[in-house]
Amino acid sequence: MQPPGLFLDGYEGEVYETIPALMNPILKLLVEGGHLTPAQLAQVAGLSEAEVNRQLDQLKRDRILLGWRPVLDLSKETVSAVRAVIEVKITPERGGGFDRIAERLSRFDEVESCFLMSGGYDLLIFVNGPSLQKLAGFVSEKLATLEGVVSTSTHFILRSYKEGTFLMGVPAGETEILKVSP
Amino acid sequence: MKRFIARHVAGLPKSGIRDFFEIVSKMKDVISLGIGEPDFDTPWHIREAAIYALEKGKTHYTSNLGLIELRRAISRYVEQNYALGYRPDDEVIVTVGVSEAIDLALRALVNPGDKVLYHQPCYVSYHPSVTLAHGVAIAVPTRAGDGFALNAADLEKAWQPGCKVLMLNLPCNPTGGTCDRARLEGIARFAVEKDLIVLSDEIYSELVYDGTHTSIAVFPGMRERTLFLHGFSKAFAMTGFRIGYACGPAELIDAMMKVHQYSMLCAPILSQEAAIEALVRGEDSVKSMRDQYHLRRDLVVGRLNAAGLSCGSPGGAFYVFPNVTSTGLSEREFAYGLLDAQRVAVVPGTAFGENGRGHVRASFATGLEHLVEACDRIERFVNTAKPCSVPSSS
Repeated sequence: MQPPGLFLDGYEGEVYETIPALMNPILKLLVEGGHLTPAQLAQVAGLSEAEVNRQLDQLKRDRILLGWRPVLDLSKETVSAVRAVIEVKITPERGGGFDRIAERLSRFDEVESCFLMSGGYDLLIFVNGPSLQKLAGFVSEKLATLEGVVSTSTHFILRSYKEGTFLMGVPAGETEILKVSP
Repeated sequence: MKRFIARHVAGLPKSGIRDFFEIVSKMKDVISLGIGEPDFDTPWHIREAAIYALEKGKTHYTSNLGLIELRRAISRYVEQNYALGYRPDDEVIVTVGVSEAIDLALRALVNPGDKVLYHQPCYVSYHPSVTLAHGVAIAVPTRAGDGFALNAADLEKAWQPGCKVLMLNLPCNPTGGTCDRARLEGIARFAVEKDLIVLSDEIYSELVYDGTHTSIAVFPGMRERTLFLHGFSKAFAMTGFRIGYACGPAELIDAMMKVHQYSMLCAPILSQEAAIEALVRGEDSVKSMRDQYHLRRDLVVGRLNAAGLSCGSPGGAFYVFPNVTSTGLSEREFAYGLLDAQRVAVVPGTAFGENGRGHVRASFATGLEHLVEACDRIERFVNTAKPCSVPSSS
């Protein structure tokens, strides 16, 4: 029996449980409560700061809370990175399915995310690199040459409109709201 | 010019919030807990429905009662959520917010000199709306010790011959007060016994945190004497759309419609289109906002009590109404002092009537980070509170 809320593999007959994870009040606050410090989390959850830190540590040990990443609008950087989405068809292996190749691909620094997909291809990977040439090199030299990779289809990202729930290129919310109203 | 102004308008006091607003709006770095509307923007799918309607050229008048699709959606929503059945054809009217619906109802019901009971502290417009309809407003006190619920006994005490209407606002702005079923039943019995029409403003009814909301219209003998008033401003965060509705007996809706057709004609069509989207697909948005308010309520109530203010936990809406007299300050001294010393805006309770004396209204319709900071500042203020000079009340 897996602890509730653990992210499980979805293709070995087990369930991808996200809802119970969010029943954990601290996790729910991390997701929904904006950017709160542990001290603020403690106040909102009605717990001591030490207890919040203990729960955060436990979530990390359980590999539920994996880490934090800033959401950036890279179009505002003078030297911006190149990003692409690649559809990859692979040959599944007896005993391992898609896992071995997916994991091997995922370990490359260029790979931001990697998903097993239903539909016309098997893996969808998000990659980034300092230049188009470097990414092209990664695709032709590393990705396409892997044994088991049948084909790749690379789409370069031209512009980002929304990332991690944030809208890009839209001025920060300056919604006009009266400071005092009945 | 003054001599031309009608006596009953000239005699109206300005909203107690107005002078405070003037001061706050000129200050920088203020965390405002003085806001009587959701901090959330209207959910995008609702805004998008309004844009789509505009693109499709929906820019004309609608029927006086409102779009029939909207009235059908309202009828279904009220049936599902309040167990009240109203015919979309003649028992529902769409208005420019609940404020207009209240004005229509009072103008449709009140003869000069008729008396109207309302519980107080209450929303700022109730008393003036009665005066503008040439009625006489009679306040019934609610108290902190009672969770600001209304008691039939207090109603009985305030009642006088000539009382025709009872106005209810549960959950209540500014107190967050709600009434449990038993208490509500007592009020219903009182209304039947005294032959009162009840205007039940249930604008905050989706935002109830303890137990479930019951409309007074469900009790025996009440449907035929209740006007159920509701709108989209609070639960769907649609204040600027100015859209609400009233459901009630056909004769009353028809009388209100007469006033509405000669004054407003109809509610704005784009807001009506957005309202349909809100009712049909807005449930998840409402739930997620309610969950946030719930979290914030628990935080603020806990922090204010820990800071030494006496603050009950409101059953609904998004306001707390703490008693600040433990600081030795009046509600106005507290509000002005807090603003001056710590840059946090709360509204003096007397803006909502005499029975708000000793209290301030603090809205928790603001982000958690701001709320935590505001609570820190209030705590600092309470620890160092000294009487300060306060502008004279307008």
